[in-house]
Amino acid sequence: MEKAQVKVQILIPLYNAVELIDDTMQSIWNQNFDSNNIYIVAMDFGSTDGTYEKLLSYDSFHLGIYQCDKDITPYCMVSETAKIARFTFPGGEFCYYMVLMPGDVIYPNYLSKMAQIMYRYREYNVSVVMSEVDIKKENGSVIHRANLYETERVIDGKKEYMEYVLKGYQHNILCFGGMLAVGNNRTYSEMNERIWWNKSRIINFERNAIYIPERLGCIKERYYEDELQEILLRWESLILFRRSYEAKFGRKLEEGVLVTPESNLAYYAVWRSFLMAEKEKAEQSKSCFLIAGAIYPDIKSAQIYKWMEKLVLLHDDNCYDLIKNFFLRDNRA
Amino acid sequence: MEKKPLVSIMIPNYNHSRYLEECIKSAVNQTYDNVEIVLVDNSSEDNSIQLAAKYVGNKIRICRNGYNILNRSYCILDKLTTGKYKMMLCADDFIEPDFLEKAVAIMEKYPNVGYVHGERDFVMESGEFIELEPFYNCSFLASGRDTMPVYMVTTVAHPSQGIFRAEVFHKCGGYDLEVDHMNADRMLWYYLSYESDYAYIRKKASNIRIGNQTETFITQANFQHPILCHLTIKEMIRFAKRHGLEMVYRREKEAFERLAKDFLNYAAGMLAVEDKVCAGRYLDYVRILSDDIVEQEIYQQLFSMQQGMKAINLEYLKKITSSALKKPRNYEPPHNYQKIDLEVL
Repeated sequence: MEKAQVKVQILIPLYNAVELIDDTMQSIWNQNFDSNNIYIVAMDFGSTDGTYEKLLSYDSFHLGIYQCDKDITPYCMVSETAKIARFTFPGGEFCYYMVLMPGDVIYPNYLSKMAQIMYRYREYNVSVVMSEVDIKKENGSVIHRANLYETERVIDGKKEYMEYVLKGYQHNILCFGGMLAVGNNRTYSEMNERIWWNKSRIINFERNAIYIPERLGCIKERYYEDELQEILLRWESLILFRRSYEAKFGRKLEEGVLVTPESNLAYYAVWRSFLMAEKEKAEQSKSCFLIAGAIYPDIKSAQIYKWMEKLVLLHDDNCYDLIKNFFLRDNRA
Repeated sequence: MEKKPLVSIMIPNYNHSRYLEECIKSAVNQTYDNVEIVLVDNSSEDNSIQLAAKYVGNKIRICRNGYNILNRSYCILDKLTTGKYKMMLCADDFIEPDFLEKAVAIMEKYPNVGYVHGERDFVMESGEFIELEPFYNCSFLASGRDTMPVYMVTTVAHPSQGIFRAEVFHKCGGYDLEVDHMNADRMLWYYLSYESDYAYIRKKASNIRIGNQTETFITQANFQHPILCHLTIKEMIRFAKRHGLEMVYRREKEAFERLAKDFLNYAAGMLAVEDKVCAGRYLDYVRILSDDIVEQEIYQQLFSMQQGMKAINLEYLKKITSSALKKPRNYEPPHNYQKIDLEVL
């Protein structure tokens, strides 16, 4: 048998997304994949803009719709949706799930590619498949970032759990596979980027991830209502990650020479500070900038930090273009 | 005579063999007799289990996780216990013999009360006690909503100081809450207050261990603790705004200013053990919480020491860290409170 029958459950948590939901749903229905094997679990969290009504207007085949009234933060939405999705899990040997946020689209060959990959690597105890993505910016233009790796490869959970965290801090990926384990709600943020190394910790570093260099979907550029909170959550994940590693392996996590997860996160914080400055959100910009120094004190000697210090704390925008170009280095049109 | 309701004492443990016996003894020796005690050990490397095994009998059950699952143990403890009332007793703390009896008497008499706090002393590693003035100036009942703002601005009680009604606890989501279990005590009281009323016993209920080996110090050093404090306040504000609790969210600035003061105390503590890097991180972080902190005397002193511009002055640092323990207390209870007389329960 060349292929296995692969079933997919797609979780879509929704809140006030009436303008965005259509693109996402259409991209699922345009898949070059047997629609009998696609199950959607869409959960609306009390939208007031007609999102739920829009869901009802779609053809109901394999489309699960739920309304949740719980007082939920965005970080809980994925977890709450997963709690329901467990009950509607179609079952079978090759049954997986993924999460799509409203506005994200998967290209027509995404699911069939995932099916191929899962079958090809079925001996590898794969917990997640990560693929590259295009990013749709607010102004409509589409960019992507430099690939994590050159070729398709296995990322060994026992050894390379830190890989993703050490690569580009601006990076986004699409994740497929996963597990529907439900735990401390905050573990499951909406961000695919955190899935691999969060899960590394939860699955006790025991499984593998597969990496695909092709860009198989397009996600909306992410902005958070509270950028600082997202940074704090990532920082907390890192600390828990280190503690779990120590608990499992009986020794501290080996320090990277040039790049550590904390240095990566600190650069992320400085980048977000700049994005907030561009949007004239001064409070958020300042918070993101200051937290970088707390996360990784050595960043204070980096050029980019000094330029940003002028911009954010002294309101001197002499270095604005230098900063802008620094953060655009990794972007590709 | 009706059978007295069951109280569950939940004890999570990891490598606290030094203090564990005192903790277990205090639970076993409660004057209230319908108690189940469950210990969940996180695969400690010391002889915790052997020590605990001495007390196995009809009141205490010893459990062990196959490997260290950190604070997910709290969820297991909740699942393994069935009491009408429950408390989380930290393995290095110990409680006074009459705490359960008093707390249960109040909650049996006042069905709207969802949880009770007692007072505490701190215990140093040396065994020396640090007595504190009680938080409030009398024993009382108050509506939960009136109590909520206090949890934003300060720590009223540690987990080992509180006993809660299981029904209300589960209504709040139990240990499935958004906030990490480490700060679940602060969030827990806050959420319980939203759903039910509160009672406070102005008598010592618990002895809370402090020192370098405790979870609190470890997480102050690895930054887990301050992050959680910060996230906790953010969550409290979000919750308050969502539910229209103006009395709570109007104290947002105050909450962050107080947290900033706490961070300065942690920075002082780190400088006292010569960890200048960690102290520096606190001094950076604190600038997010308060706009004018850099102009305050304490900040400037600590900053000079951290940068090496001034010599580390241990006496000054000790003054700061110990003043944190001796904050002014004996506060007036939240308004519309009702005094209770512990003698007539």
